[in-house]
Amino acid sequence: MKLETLQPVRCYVRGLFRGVAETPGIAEQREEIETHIIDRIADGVSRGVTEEQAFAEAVESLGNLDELVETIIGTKKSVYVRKANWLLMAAALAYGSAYMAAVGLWFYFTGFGFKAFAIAVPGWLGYAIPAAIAWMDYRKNPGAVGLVAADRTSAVRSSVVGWAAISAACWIVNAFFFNSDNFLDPVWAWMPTFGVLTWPLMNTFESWMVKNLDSIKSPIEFGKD
Amino acid sequence: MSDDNIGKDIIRGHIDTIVLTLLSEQDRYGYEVYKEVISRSNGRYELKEPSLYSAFRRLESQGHIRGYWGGESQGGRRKYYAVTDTGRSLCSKSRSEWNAVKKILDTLIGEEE
Repeated sequence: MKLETLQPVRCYVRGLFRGVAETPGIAEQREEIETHIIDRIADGVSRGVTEEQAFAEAVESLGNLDELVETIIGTKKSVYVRKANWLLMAAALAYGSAYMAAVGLWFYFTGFGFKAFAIAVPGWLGYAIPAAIAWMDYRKNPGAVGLVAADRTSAVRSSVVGWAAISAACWIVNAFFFNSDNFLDPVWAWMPTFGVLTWPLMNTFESWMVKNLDSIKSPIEFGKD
Repeated sequence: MSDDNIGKDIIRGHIDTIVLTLLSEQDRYGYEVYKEVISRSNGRYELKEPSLYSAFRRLESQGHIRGYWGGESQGGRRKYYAVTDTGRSLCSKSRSEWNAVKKILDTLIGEEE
């Protein structure tokens, strides 16, 4: 093949991987595709097509490489979404049950008596209802598959920061404005601190599931042609 | 080559098996598999490059195939793929599964054109 054809092919393939971080895997894939296109053009030429025509056909057939790049760098994972969601909500319910039990007991022993139920039960339902819905969704279509981001570090980080900020705000507001005799009334500081803790805990658990829990991983891959 | 690529979605679910079958006959490089799919299907199916190479990457990461760099062509080095033992057993399992499914589907929705 003429040298003039090799250069545009290299440039073109380089362009296909533009914006993708260079790793040994990506570099090898690029070289492989380069050779593939050059072979393909050479084949076309031997069938009597012009080099330009053969190049154009190869470019059209390649389309975009999002799927391929995705497979190599693995930023997304294919999981049983409803199952993952149900497990997540069940874990939240487990934490929520312990938390609302503690809240109920606290109110019970600080003079609210059985009215504590009126506080703890609705709070518990806030965990139980989403879990029930997630369970029904799961039972309706246990095999539903979706793509989720494999790297959930940023979601975990922002939930921890969010939790810390909300908790700090509650403690500061409590300390400055309520000015209660016992300085910090647990209801206004401890409760939101542990309640909002559900959020980073859920994100951490989700991140753990996506990374380590084989039973939610789906073998089905999404592809476009 | 036909554009309509009949039953593309049905075939897509079997791309890994197609690739494994071709590689279990002999080690091949990407373009060779590409050409082989077209010629064996008499040009009725074209396994496009992104799907083909995604299948390579997937099968490689699962340990079913193993790539190695082979000889130079006019354009550059060629990467060949060989089936591993697990790939071989996956291949025969998928193929017998397909043969069973094919018979069932044929009794249910086959014939009458």
